[in-house]
This record gives sequence, structure tokens and C-alpha cells, in this order.
Amino acid sequence: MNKFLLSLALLAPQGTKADSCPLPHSSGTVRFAGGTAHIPLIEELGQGLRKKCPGLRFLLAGGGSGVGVQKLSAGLVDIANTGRPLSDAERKKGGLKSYPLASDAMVMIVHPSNAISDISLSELQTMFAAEPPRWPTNTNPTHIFVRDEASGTQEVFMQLVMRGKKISRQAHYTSSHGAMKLAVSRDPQAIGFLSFAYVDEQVKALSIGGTAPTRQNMVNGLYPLMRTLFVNVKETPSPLASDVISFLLGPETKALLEKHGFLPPPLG
Amino acid sequence: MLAAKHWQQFLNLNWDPSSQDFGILSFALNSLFLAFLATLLSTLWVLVLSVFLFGVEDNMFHRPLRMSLRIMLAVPTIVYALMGALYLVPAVRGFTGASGYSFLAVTLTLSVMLVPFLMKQCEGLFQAALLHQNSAASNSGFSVLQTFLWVIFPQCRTGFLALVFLGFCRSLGDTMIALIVSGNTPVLVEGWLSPFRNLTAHIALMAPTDAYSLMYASSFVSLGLLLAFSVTISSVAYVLIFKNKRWLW
Repeated sequence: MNKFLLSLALLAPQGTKADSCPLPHSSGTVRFAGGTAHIPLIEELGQGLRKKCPGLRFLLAGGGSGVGVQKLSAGLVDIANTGRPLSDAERKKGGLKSYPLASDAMVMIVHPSNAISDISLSELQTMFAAEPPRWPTNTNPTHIFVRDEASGTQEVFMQLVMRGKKISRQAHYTSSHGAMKLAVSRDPQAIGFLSFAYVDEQVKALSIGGTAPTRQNMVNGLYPLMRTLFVNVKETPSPLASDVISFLLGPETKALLEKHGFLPPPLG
Repeated sequence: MLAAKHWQQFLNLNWDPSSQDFGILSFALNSLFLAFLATLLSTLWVLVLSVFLFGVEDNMFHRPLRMSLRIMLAVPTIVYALMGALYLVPAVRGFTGASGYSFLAVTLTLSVMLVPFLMKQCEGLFQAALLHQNSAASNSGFSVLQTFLWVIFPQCRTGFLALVFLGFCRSLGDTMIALIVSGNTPVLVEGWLSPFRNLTAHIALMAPTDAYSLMYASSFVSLGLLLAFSVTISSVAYVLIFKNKRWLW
């Protein structure tokens, strides 16, 4: 029996896992909840980390920014993802602190068969406020889709596009990026918006005033619809959550940010 | 606790958070309109199906129909909601040019979901009555259809009405179909093709908002209204069931 255990111990890769795991605390479960724009990035990050730290587990849930903050405040998760800064009340009552994770582009999308490929911010504003909404280039009616009131993406849309104007009373409200993509990808008359990470061939991304939502334009600061994604923790997070946050904000994540169409967060 | 001024903000027809208006009464009215029309539509279907199942001699269609209704009863609501979004919404869009996310699409989806629920209850109701009355009716020379229309259904009409009330409550409380098929536009419904929002979808949409905001608080007021509606309707139904309880087992 002892010989058997010894042979097993010799077969095991000695020390390699612990050496390559970049986190000081390499095992345990980290629970995430909140904004859905972060999910593709954190999911891949978790898969990569797990290969190096076999004892580490990420439990990832969506629910929207507000749900993430509520769960974090109640101690039900370790990290809350938000697509908006925390309100003062959320920060104080929950005892939370925020870290900017990435800059994300908000992309206007239409059905792939739609002839339109460029739209200006003022045309967007007029179109989304009109009763009934109509395309700027012709008089055809359009079906406009926005995100629900809890969405960080919606908040950014209101600030950067609507700029104080009210959204049309005929707008449709979707409860997730997935629902938005489903609605726009199946309706030739639809227009909506998504986080850049969710844009694929099912929808057509529009350029804004001649500026396409490309990485080059985002890096150069030319693309106008940008927002910051945040990760939030308790004032005194668990050691493991603290390690994961340090890793998320560190240089190792940079390549993944790029892969998912995000940019490093703005300085300051 | 909410201050008096907040109640005024909640109990009006205008939802516009940018102007600090959090009126949820339009959602409450939408919920009532939707529940009423979906229940009405499904009740008509249930009456037709009941006549076919209980007022016609057993035939080759009865068994598959009963089986289909049982399978439909076991289908989760989310499946009806997704079917509505994937097939009914594009169909409405194709016929009308509107987006398809509409009062019409939600009413139809909800009524389809309600039919097996109501039919299951009706089966119990009518079978209990048949057990007591069938021999007497056939001895009197009544046909199967006559027995159902003139003996069974009149005997069970109060119980049937109570079931319709329960169906109303069921449609009032449904969340997934409304959330996925309605378009969630925060206005009072203006027509069959209008997108709209009801109370349950509003509660689901407000759950992820800032927990210290009035938007979040509006979900609790919505919950209170929904509960008040459900308790009132269920109480009426309970009284009717109690009156007619001998046909319920």
C-alpha cells in the first residue's frame, strides 16, 4: 500500500501547479454576479486561471448591475460586475469599493439585411425620440429597441446619445444583451445597441458619423460611444477575492481584454 | 418606509424616471386588461373543447386530444414565452408591419398557456358531475350532448365560473410570457399592436436596479397591487367554489 501511494506521489507533477498559479491564494470559490457585458471576458479568464490553479473555481451569474450590487452588499457574492459607477448610497450602505476594469464600446446594431451602415449621433437622437420612430434616410417606420432601466448600457445610451431627450413612447425594452440581439437579428426594421463583446454576424454594426466601431478607432479615441466597466468588492474583501481583483486589473488580463473587444480602462 | 409624496409618484399613470415619475397604474391596468382578455379567449376555447370531450360520444380524437392537453400542461411557461417570441412575434410582424411585440401576441400566447390549465380543472369538475347525473340523464332519454349542455354544465356553472376566476389569477401573475413577448414599453396599452408593460414584467425589470432608488421601491408597490388583485379575485373564486363544492371531487 505504501509503495502504491509512493508511486502515485511520484507520478504527480511535483510543484508545477502551485508554481504557475499567479494567485497567492490558489484555491477556493469566487462568486460573481451583475452586469452581463463582463461575462464573456471573466468566463474565459476563469477557464485560463483554472488550468493553472486547479483548486480555484469561478461561479458566474448575470442579473444586471443592480442585482450584482445587492448580492455583494448582502455578502452573497464576492465580486459584483457593473456597467455603471456605483451610486453614493450603494457605496456607503453596502460598504463597497469599485475598480475600473475595462473600456467598452456601445455599438448601434441593425438587421444584417438593412441597407443603412452609418448614422450620426443627432440622427440617432431624433430617431429614438420621434413619435413614431422613423429612419433618417426615408420615411419607413422603425422598431427601436433599448435596454431596461436597470441596465448600465442604457444609462450610457441616455447620456451619450439622448442627452436629455426622452425616449419614444413606442420603444421596446429588452432585459439583456441576449434578448436585444435576438430581437434585432430577427426584425429587418429594428435598431438597437449592444456591448461590443456581443456583436457578431447575426447583427450589423453601424458606424457613427463615419467612425466604425473598430479597435483602432476606439484606441484613438475617435469612436464616440464608450463606457467603463467596473468590478466591485466589499471594503475588506476575502483574501481570494482580493487576489482575483488584483489579477483582473493586472497585465495578464490585457490580452484577453483585447480579444473581447475591450480597451484598458481610462486612467484616473 | 415610503413618504406620502412617494405614493403620489407611484400611484399615477406616468412612468418617466428622468422626471422622477414612477407611476405604475398604467402597468396595473395593462395587467388587468391582459388577464381579462387572455382568460376570455381561453375560456371560449375551453368551452368548445369541453363540448367536444364531454358532449360527444367517445371517438378516436378524444384520447390524443386529452394526451396533448396533459403534455401542454406540463410545459413550463418559459417555453410558451420563447415560442411566442420566436414564432408568434414574427408572424404578427409579417401580417401587420408592427414589431410584433404586442398586446395581441401576449394575449394569444397567454391564452394558449391557460387552455390546458383550465381544461384540467374542468375535467375534474365535469367528471364529478357526470358520475352523479349521467345515469339519471340517460335514463330520461337525453343524448350525450343534451346531458352535457342541459344537465352537467348548468350544474357546474358556478364551479366553472370559479375556475375562470382562477385562470384570471393565473394570467395576472404570469411573468415570463409578458416579459419576453410584450416589448416592456412603460405605457398604457393603446391597441392590439402596442408594446406594453404589465406589473409582473415591471417587477422583474426593476429587481436589478439600485436597491436604494425609487425605481426599486416601485417594484414593491407593484407587488402590493398584484397581491391585492390576486387576493380579491381568489376570494371571490373561493366563495363560488365553496358554494359549488359538491361537484369538485
